Amino acid sequence: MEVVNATRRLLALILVGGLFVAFDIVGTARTGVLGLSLIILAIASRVYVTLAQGALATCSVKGSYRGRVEGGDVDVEYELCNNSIIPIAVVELSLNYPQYLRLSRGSRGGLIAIPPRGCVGYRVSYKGRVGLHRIGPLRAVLRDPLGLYRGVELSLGPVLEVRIRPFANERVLRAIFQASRASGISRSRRPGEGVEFYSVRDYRPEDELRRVYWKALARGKLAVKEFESEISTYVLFVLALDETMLYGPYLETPLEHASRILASIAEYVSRRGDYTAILTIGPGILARTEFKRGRRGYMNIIELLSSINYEDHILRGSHEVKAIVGDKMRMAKYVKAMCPRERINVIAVTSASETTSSLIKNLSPLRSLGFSINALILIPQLYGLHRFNPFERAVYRLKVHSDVKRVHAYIKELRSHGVNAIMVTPWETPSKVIARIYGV
Amino acid sequence: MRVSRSREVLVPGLLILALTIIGLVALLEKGPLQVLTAPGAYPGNNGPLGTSTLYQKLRENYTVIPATNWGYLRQVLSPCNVSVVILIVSPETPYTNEDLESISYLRSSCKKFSLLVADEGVESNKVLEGIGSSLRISEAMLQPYSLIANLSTPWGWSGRVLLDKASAVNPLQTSGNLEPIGFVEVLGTPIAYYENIGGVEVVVIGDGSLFLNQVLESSVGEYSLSFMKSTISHLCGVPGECIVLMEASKYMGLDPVEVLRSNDRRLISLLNIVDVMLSFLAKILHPSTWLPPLLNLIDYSIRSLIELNPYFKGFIVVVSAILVALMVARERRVRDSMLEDVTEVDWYGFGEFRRHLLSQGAKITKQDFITLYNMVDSVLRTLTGSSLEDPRLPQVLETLGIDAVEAERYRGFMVKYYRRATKQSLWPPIVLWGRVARKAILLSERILEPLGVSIATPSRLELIVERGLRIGGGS
Repeated sequence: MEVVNATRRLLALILVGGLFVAFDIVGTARTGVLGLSLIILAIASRVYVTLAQGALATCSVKGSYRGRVEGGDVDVEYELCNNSIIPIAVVELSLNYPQYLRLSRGSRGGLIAIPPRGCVGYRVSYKGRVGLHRIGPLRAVLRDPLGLYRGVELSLGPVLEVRIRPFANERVLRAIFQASRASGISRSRRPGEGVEFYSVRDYRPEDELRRVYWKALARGKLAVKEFESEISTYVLFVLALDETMLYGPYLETPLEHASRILASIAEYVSRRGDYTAILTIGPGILARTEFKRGRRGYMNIIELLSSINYEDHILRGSHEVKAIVGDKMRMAKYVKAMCPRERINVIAVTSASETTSSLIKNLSPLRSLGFSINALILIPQLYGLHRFNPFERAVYRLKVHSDVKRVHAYIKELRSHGVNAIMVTPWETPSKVIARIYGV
Repeated sequence: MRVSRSREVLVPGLLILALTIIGLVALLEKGPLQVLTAPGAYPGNNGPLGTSTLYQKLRENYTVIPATNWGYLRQVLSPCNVSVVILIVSPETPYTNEDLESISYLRSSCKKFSLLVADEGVESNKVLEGIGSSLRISEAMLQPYSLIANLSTPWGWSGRVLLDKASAVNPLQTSGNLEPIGFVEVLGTPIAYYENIGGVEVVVIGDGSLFLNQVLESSVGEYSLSFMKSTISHLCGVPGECIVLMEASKYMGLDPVEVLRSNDRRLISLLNIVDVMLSFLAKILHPSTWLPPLLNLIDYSIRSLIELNPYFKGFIVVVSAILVALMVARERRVRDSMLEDVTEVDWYGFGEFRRHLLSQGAKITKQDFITLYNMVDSVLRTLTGSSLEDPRLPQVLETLGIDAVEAERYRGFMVKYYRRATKQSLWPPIVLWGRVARKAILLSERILEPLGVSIATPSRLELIVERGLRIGGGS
């Protein structure tokens, strides 16, 4: 293919120019100069576009982005520098980005001119949504100002891999903390050092005076309060993905809701100093982190969540992953291999589709090894209700009720396999979810 | 094995042709080439009467600029933060007022200004007058032409130089900072003067031939050169902060074509023949020499042919049409469409239904009514322990703050239409299910609201229904 191609406007211009010249030669009108000018203009445009196309192809293009947290502004910027002495005009630009992202500022494309030895910037922003997003390159097409010639489409600049982390705020963490205190997320059921009340027993000579139970003493009995000793637990998060996890409006999909829940619980657990790890399973992903204590464990989880690519990991499948996930024994073995010989608290989050529910079901054999398995089942159909008016919302709810009933059936089935499955609606905060897991 | 070769065209021929034409037109636009060969004391002349040797020698120690345009130099040296020495050797053409103004400007604006004149003619007098010097070079030449002068300068150089066609230097007044620095032997005529006019130093010597190539390259040239170096060194001060402006604008130039055409051997002997030939070639090759005549010739030929034969017009039209057609045919034409932008999407479960609901509103059916009945029934059983069919339901709801009459009416409405929908009853015979279901939704919302449940707002409806199913194992 030629580097520069003519458009249909060129033919029209040349024909008009030719006619003007012909009229002049035949002697009917003095239009020869005008006709020649038009033809020269076409040639000059061809020369210009060829030179400018070369300059555009050798432009140095740098790409960068700012912003890493879900819901915050992510600014993507490209700088195009013309290293030549030829001005580049007019260039039509269009930015490549995944269609599930939505720009909040800036334009998807535009027309630019780059002065000789000069630079221009192109900036767009979008609200960060959790995961790994590939943005870029810029697609560019050059034309002369009259649009007589069009350069071939060029890809300019790098593909930026933008990683966005889920958001866990302090307020949610405090709520989780309260919920967990009440629920005993990490109770040992043994007396010892801790903050949770365990029982009252008779005073023994070695007991500390500050533990004396004053109410009992008032009744004439010397007794002390006992507290429940806290233990370090192992928490394994499982995030099961399928395309229904992407249902819903921007920033309010089940995947984002699940990420927020997982990140919040993981942050809380890491602050307690517990061991955490995550297993992410999807059509194109089977990834895990090692069990790590405290902040390191949390950061590993956040990094894994921010590396989920919607196209590669959710919308496209891999036979190898499907083979492992679909086989009950292989799946259980895979999880067992990544866990130490400890009592593991599994918190699985998934949508209510048949595939993912059966996946969680495949984890049930681990119960025999002392694993406690909790599954949070999200209902993708309920995400995005806010766009309706109240009446439409009610009608929509009636229409999806059959699907919700199917979710009830899944949950019932999971429970029959010993999985503590609970349904999670889109408007439930992580703290409420925690409270419901442990039946508070 | 046969190796096939393909030619890859990297730069289109049309592009090269177009660039060539653009280049020629650009050169043409600049006008005809001004290649001049000056036989006089011009710094660019390396013939015997030129001063190219002096120029080269001075360049070894100083920044020397040939002053081809005084007006331009004035612009370039503004602001002038350096010392400037103007060196004038035997100018041939008169100075204009603009030239003198520019020199006066340099005098007033530069850090230090000095003038060194070596001239046997009177053209330099205007410059001397312009800067306020009282020295003038006499019109009459000293006889005989070959004389010896003794020079002794205040900066310590003294010696003898050979003069050739010299003129006396006369002061207009004898008072002031004037000092004769050279006299002709035998005659005793003053031939060189030094003058200081309020910090502006002026040295005038009545013979320019001292610094011509033929003298500097001869055996006596070393004295002249030594005198020049000593004088410039005195006038400049620190070499790094001094610019020597060597006069190069006041000499009569000759067109190299004319020089060769004249075949004047005496004139040619005064010039460097290689320079003349190169100048000649440059002049001949410049498009301003041959392009306009060529275009005229083509134009004339075409006109002659048209006048000669009336059918020639048609021929030109046909040839032009073929050329245009070829040009257009060479180009690969493409459809010039906009770049396709990314289409942003949201995915939804029940996407089709959602779109329909948002664009055209909801169509509610009998089945929706049954679903609503089951949902409400499940919620009531979970929260109150009574189902919709239970006649005690209004009393139970009354304890929760709901009007019993309204609750009974609601219960009656729901049960009546549920029985009709499930064909347990045939009454009423005609039912508009859309309208009934709409009313049922509104009534249900009013009953459920005090219980903290809503179908129309985000609430725990689904969770309660699930709990109801778990407890009752119902529909």
